[in-house]
Order: sequence, then structure tokens, then C-alpha cells
Amino acid sequence: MNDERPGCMSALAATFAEKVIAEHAGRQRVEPGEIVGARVDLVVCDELSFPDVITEFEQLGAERVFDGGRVLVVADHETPAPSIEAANRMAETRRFCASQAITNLLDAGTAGIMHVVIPERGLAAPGELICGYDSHMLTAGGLGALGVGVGATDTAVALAFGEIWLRVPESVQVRLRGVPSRWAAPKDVALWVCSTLGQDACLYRSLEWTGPYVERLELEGRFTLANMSIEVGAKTAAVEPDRAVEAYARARARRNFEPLWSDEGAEFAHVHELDVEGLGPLVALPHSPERSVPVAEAAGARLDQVFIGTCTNGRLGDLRAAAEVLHGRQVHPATRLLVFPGSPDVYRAALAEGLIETLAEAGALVGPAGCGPCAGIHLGLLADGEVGLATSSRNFPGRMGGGLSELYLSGPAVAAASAVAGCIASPDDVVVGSSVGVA
Amino acid sequence: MNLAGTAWVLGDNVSTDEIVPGRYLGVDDPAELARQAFEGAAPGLVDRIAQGDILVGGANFGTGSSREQAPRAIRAAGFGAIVAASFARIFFRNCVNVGLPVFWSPEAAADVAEGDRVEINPEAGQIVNVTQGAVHRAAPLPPFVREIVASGGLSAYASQRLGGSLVPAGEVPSGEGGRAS
Repeated sequence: MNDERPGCMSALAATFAEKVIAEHAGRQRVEPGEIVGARVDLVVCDELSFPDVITEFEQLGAERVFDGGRVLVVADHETPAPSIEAANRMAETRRFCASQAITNLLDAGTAGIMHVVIPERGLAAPGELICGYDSHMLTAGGLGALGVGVGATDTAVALAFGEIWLRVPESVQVRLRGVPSRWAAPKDVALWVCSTLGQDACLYRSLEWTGPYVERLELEGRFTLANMSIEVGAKTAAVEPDRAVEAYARARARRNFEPLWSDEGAEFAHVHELDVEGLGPLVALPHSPERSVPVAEAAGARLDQVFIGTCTNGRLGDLRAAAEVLHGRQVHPATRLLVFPGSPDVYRAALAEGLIETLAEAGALVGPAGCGPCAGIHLGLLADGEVGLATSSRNFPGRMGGGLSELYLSGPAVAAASAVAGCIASPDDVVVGSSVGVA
Repeated sequence: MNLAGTAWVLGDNVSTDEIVPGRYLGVDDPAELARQAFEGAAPGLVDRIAQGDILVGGANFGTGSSREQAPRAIRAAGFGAIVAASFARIFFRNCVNVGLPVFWSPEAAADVAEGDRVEINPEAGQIVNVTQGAVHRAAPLPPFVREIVASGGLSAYASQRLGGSLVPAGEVPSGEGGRAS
């Protein structure tokens, strides 16, 4: 099922990552292993981390950001402010953005998860290179943009120079064919790939998602696959934009752009050929996405809390999948269901479709657009000893609360079904009305 | 300058969530961050180490979140260097950028046991297990990354280049064969 073979080589052919980096380094061509300075089209940071970036920026001796129009600061990690310290951080962020003419400061009300709002607002486009202080920056690969996650100091340097240093990565392809079962969404496919390849399989590499399964995916599913690529260690990830994706980007982009993709004959370190035919929904057991198993193997595990949202699964299609399962049903009395839409656009569209009503009537707590409790900061952390399930990308020990809490991962349909059952359950069990559940 | 200390050994896939849990991300004070470091992965570890001790990890050390607090907390806790079988990319890059010495050596990571005396010669890329009498090589860093390390971190390196290019074209040799982000 998993044939690994080196791709064929051609002297002139280049991969997606090589092309985007060459373009941004002002070079004809770059080679894997080479270190280059690359111009960035956008520098991104959240409001919790931005004060650290400001400190580094000032320590560097920098005075002005390279281009206020190419900086995005999003209040997604701790908004509305859970503490006076957080409020003070946001106040500092607002002052800095005003003084530096940073026009893209998304504050409470306009903010959503950075990886959801970047494409919605046309802040990244196919063929562009963006960086930011967040490990899920590679989500932009769903759009055919090259996103790289960096730390505070890198972000400060990028603000000052409009440039970052990059080692040109080797590339790998994951080629997916086949049609999964009814309830298996791109998240389930991604979890299965994590368990098949392992947590460090693509360390330092550019991961290209290809093949008939991927080509058929709409934009949201592409974002989910690109997003989950960090959980196999990838430096960046991408899906080749099709006509629909390009049209989406053209309708929103603030700059001219040119989609780029790997040439025929480009060199890949590995090509993983995988067949998702008939794949059923999965859950990742605590404490790693690579511990993903079919739902049946974990069915019945009691859950204190279920959380639907995040940069992995906080988009409209995800809320539709959850609402489909929750429609006319109730969240189990022993379980809490939290839903955080990925962005204000997602929230408004979900309202217009009646999804928020469905979720609220089922007993879900619907929170503000943003990251919710995903990173263990606020808005619904788990107590020590509690067990949660989330549609987020990672479940390392203590990720979403106490060091002795446990977290499972799944897609939105399994999450919704599990909230109804009060324990891990397949959507089929709940929708068809089988006996699975906590009595 | 040689690095030397007692080895403290952790396993594979230690995540930055375990090094600095999310609820401490607003903490500015490095000493306070250090007190919380490894609260989940190795409770009490930071109370037992001596200044300059060596942290030894398995594969994919520092996986997950991009939080730069992770290497800062490890440094503030007193660790002088990290040796691991492999590093997660953003964590490795953050270590380089904040000036925390990191050494990529599957052999050393497999050989060193907790409590061993370890000496590292960064220039030679040599990791010596004094207790067991073994010598291991660390993967060489690309020249550009060595330049950042030699400057004391990315901030110090970049401050000398303000107003120009971060990576001047033609001045930086290829990092082929080395480990970098």
C-alpha cells in the first residue's frame, strides 16, 4: 500500500518549494540543502506572541517594519482577553500596529484563526511565500502558497528585513487514490497518513499532496491536509491549485500572483502511494496524531468534553458535518460540547445556514471565532484526569489543559457523534441510532 | 569553548507543549518559565540539574508548537546544550536563533545514559561520553547557521545587517549535507 520510491530526475525540473523559494530569492534555481535569503509576501503573528516579537524587533535595533501592508496581526489566541495581563498585551500590540502603520490588525470581532482568515481576506495567494510565528503556517499550502512556521526572533527579523533565511527543503509527495467511506473526511485521511508514515516522516521536507483523491477535494479539505502536514514534521506543504482554487484566490488577492507547481520529472526524496478506498473514520488516541486507529477500536471511551473548531477543522464544511449529526439530537448530559467557528465569515455563514441554531439547540456552547482551547491557553481547558476529544491537529501530553488530562483527535462528524453518545462513537452509531453510548 | 555537564535523558517526540505548556506562554520572566519547564514530561527535572548540564533527547525533539519560550526555558533552567537523535524543525531553528547550542547525533542520543558525564567540542562537532569512554560526531551545521551561532543568535547577527540583506547573495556557501531549518 505504501510504495516508496525515489522520483525520477531531470536536470531542469524543479519542485514547488524550489520554484517558490527561487522566485523569492531572486534566483533562477535553487537546490535542496542550500541556504538562501527569501523575500516574504506576508509576515503573520497572533496577539499573545506579538509582544515578544516587538521586544525582539526593538532589541535588533530596527525602527520600521519593512511594509505595514504585508504584516498581519490576528487576535486569535487569547481574545477576548482572559486576564489583565492578556489585555495589556493586546493594548501593546494595538499601539505598535498603529505606530508602524500595520493595517491588517484583526481585533475582536474581525479576528478569526489566522490560517482561516488569511485565504478569506486574500492575504496569501498561490505561488506566494508567507511566514509567521505559528507552527500551522503551512496551512496556506491548501491554496498553493508556501507557508513556513518560525519563532519570535525570526518573525522580528522578517518584520525588519522583509526576508527570512531558509534552507531549501527536499520534497516528498503523498499520492492518494480511492474514495473513503461516507463519514471519512480529509481529517480522517490526514490522521491515517500520520499513523501510516509516522510523526517525523517528513521532517524538514516540503510535502506535496497529490493524486486523484486530493484533486477532487474542495479548498477546505485541502487546507485540512496541508494543516496536518506539520504533524508528520513537514516544513511546508502544498496542493496544486485547480481552477476553482485559483478563481477563489483571484477574487480576493490584493496582489498579482502566479501559481507555481512542480515540474514533470522533478526530484522527490520519497513518493508515498497510498490508497484511501473505503477508509472509515478514525480517532487519534492520546497522546499523538500518529496513534490514529479506526473509531471502533476506541468506541465507548467516556468523554468529559468535545471541542469542534481550530485551523484544522473550524471551517464551514466542518460545522455542516457536525450539525448534520447533531440535528434533532442532544449532547450527552455528562459531556460538554464546545464549538468555536474558525472566523467571523464562517460564523456568519453558519448563522445564515441555521447551523449555529442546530448546534445551540443540541446543547453546544458556541464560542467566539478563534483558536478556542486548542493550545491550552483559555476558553475550555481540561482538568487533570479529564478526557477530551477535539478536531484539532495535535494531542501531546497537556496540550489542552492539565498535564494529567487526555485528549483524542477526530474529524467533526466523529466529534459530534461522540458528543451525543458521551463517549467515542462513529456517526453511523448515532445517526442510525444504535445502542452505543454511555447509559 | 567546550560544553560539559551531566546528561539528562528524555525520549522520542518530546513536544513543546510538554516543555512549556500553553498556559505559561504569557510569562515573560525566563526564570519563571524555567521553573515550569518539563512540568509534564519530567516533573522536578529542572530542580535537580546543575548549570551547564546537557539535555539528551530522542527523535523529533521539540515537536509541535513554534513557541520560542521552549528553548528559552531550557536555557534559563541551566542546560548548556541539547543533543538529540533528530530535532523538529521550528524548535531547532529557535534554538539556533536564541543561541542555545544544539547537536544532531543519533549515535550520541542512543549511547548516552542519564547521569553520564558529557563533554562537547562544538567546533570539532565532537560529543564525548566521558563516563562510557565513547566519542560521537554531531552533524555539521551549515556555514550560515554557524555564523548565527557564532554571533550569539539571530538577533545579534541580524542587527549587524540592518539596512541591507539578511543573507547577502553570493557570500553564503551551500549548506549541503548539514542540518538546518
